[in-house]
Amino acid sequence: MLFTSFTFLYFQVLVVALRWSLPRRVVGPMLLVAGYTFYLSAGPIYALLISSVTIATWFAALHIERTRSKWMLGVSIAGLLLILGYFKYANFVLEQAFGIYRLLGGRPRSVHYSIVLPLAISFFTFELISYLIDVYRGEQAERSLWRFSLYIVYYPHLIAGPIVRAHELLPSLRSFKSFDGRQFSDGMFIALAGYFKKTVLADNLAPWADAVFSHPAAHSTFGTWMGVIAYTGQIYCDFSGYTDIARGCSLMLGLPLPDNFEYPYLSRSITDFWRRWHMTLSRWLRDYLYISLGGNRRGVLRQYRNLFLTMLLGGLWHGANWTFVAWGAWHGVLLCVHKVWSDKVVGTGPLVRARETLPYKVLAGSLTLLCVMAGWVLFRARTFQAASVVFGRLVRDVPGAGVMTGELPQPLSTAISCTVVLVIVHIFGYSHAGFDANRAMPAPVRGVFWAVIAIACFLLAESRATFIYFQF
Amino acid sequence: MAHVNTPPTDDRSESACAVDNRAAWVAILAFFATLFGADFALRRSRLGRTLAQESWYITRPDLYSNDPEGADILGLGDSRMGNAFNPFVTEQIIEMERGERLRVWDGGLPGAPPMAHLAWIQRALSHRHRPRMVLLAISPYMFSSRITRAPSRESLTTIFRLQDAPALVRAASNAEDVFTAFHAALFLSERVRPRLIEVFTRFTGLNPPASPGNQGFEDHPSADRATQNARAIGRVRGYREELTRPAARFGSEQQGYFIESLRTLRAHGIQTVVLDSLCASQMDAILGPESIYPEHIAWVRAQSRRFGATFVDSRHPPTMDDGDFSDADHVSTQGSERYSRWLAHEYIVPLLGGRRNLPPTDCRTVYDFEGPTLDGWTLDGPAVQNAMSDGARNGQRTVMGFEGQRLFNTYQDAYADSSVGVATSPVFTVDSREIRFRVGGGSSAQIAVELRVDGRVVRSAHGLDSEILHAVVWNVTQWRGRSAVLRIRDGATGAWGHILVDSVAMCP
Repeated sequence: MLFTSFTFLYFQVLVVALRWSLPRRVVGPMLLVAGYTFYLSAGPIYALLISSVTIATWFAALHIERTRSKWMLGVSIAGLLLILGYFKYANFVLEQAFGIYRLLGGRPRSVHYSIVLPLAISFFTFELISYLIDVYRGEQAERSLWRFSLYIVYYPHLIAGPIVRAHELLPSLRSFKSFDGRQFSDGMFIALAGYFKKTVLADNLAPWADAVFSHPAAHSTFGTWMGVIAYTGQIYCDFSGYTDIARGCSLMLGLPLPDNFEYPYLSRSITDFWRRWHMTLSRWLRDYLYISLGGNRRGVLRQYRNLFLTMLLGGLWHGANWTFVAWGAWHGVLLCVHKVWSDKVVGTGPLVRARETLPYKVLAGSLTLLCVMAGWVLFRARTFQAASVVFGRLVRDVPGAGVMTGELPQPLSTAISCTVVLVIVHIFGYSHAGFDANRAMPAPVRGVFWAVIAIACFLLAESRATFIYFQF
Repeated sequence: MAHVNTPPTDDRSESACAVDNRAAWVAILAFFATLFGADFALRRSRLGRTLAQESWYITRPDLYSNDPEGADILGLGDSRMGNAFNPFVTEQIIEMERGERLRVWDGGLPGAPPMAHLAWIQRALSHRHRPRMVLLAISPYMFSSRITRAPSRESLTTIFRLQDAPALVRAASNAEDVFTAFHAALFLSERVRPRLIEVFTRFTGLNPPASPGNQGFEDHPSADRATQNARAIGRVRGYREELTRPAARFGSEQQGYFIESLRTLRAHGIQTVVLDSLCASQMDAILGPESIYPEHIAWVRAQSRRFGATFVDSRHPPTMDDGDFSDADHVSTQGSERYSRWLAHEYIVPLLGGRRNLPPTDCRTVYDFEGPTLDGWTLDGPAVQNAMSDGARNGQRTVMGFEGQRLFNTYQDAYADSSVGVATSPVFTVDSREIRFRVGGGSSAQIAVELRVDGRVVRSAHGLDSEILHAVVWNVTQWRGRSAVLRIRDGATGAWGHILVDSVAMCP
């Protein structure tokens, strides 16, 4: 059940209606049923998996709380990672093993298992792991199984985040609040803004990005640059649009979810970028991986190593492909370089003051964006060969369709228009003008404003099957 | 709008919260009122009406639903069926071989997949005149989810109605189909969405209204052999990628709709005929073992058997050749006559109970228009001079549905539609219960076959903007014994400004 489908729209209307009309004591069970209905709509086979791991984790957490058993924590996390590893990485690991065997002179028979990746497995596995570690670190385990299950299958965040920590959602599930009109209005606006980002911007940027990355050698330098820019915009609008829909829908139910994006393309450094991009994943990696590896406690070199390893594994989390690993490594290197730069170069001495000047900020912001875009090339390309062709086109002048020739193919001109709109709405959003305006408007005008956004989505949407982050 | 922060926790007073709550409800009401209002405005606007009229998928099924006579035999399929299945020829054959006057409708729509068939069937079942027989024509790509994506969506959003929801739920492989159809039944904007987007974002103009067809049938001009061959090769090239393994994939949600169509028809005791697609010889090159076609057709046969439907292999009817096609899989009007004659004679009539040994009719043919001139008639105007023709004249589409060798045809070589005239028969005494004849040509008010009694027009009939003549029966009991004349009037000069008449008979 995609957020952009009619099924979901009617489903959401029904759940919101039930949420605010049913007695509070049955709201929780109703949301649990809604969550499982939502998950089952993608296919019933893996509902058993998610319910089994939920129940097992719930029991394990109670045991860990009572005994502080490190052994139980380790076994539980290993079990969860094994399941994730089997579904997501089994074929990848086999392929690498056979590759090594082949290098050593062996002639293995190629084996490829047909494994369907259960929807949302990366997200709910991370939530279950964070819950176990939090309980081990001293937080109280949830006593109610149905409430814990609801925390996992609560449908707005189930498929692609935000990755919600137990203490962020469970308290709201213990005592459901009464209707809050302002929160509802905020939710409506956030969800509609998300729909606009996804259906109008991301989906209209996608055709040109797809064209460039499918046949990178067939495009001019200008076209390739636009392809990379289009993908940069697409992935942001697709994922943050999804998050906004999730957060908006959840707010309509009176349950706030954490932010996931904070204008990442306005970052002034790569460290800043990771504080603004997929914030709940960054936070998870920091709290459960980086700190577990030692964080910055054992010297600068160990800190760099930990940073690099965290980003490498973060890359691998996105998918079983070396291009994702390279993307993670690229960001790991960038973070280390930035750490050196900010600690040793501009952190001390005469450049301290320069950091606050406008030219420095503009330069730093532009360089950061370029580095991020280079990362997206690795992220989007299916192979290193394809990525190298794209990089080659970016730096070598290859003539072809361009603005000056007036022969822009339709997807390219659409991508340019959407990029301009994205820049404008980015600035517009950064000043919080849209959000503030939504609150300040008289109620009837606000309703009409929502309808205008909905109609714009209806008329300008490009139909696409799914969200990018569903595959992770 | 690019990113929206969660609002900070607030410290509003209770009264401020109450104001916010009321405002939220007002805003929600305004939101839905605006959405429904916008759709209502579109429904009432010229734009909305024009866009709805442009769509074959909207107009044709509505025409059928609003046709009080409905259909005894309903043919369903895509454009191949739309072109090939000629209701008038089928009616004629049934009448000739069984003496039964049945009404036939052609529900073929461009690209229509089994999803559209089911929607038509639901309309047929809710019509007060239910069909006795339904023909389901299957095309090679109908079960490819990629190819049927756009027409599937169009079927869902246009032909299905709210009352068809149970059938949709039974057939649909996913909830999204059901909700899409439900949503489209409520909102015109959803029904015409693709065109609405084109008009608003690509600034394309409005198209002319979709042709209403004649009982769904659309004339199709013939092509010479070279043109047919060139077009066929072009289409075959397009099909190759879609039908040849490994790119092609057999199996999609359309299978569920096909099965539900068969199940529904059997449950209601309606005879069902499943037709294999009609193809020119050029198509054979891509329907071999490398294509998905054999698997596809084997499945269709098995399902037909399972639900007691008659499967007819109509890929290459023996009475037809490539000259009857205008490309690889669409037939000309002449081809449609041959196909429909063959189908009706070989399958439809036997399934209806077979030929009857009809007693010799007591009808007396008074004007068969077989001679070179009209003896005794008063002819006034160029259109009716030399009106006896042996079929189509230069520039005229194929004329069908007449009996014998000749008919009365006011389309003139020299004038085409622009000539006018009136032909009046000698006075005769009405001595029968019925007058029967066949009429075709234009449908304007200036064109008619009239029965005049005592100088007054008491019965009138005209064509349906088609070169196919259809049967007309006038009950004239009340004028028995009175003097009358037949008058054939062609006063129109524009498109379809001519009339075709044949076989006037008196039946006691």
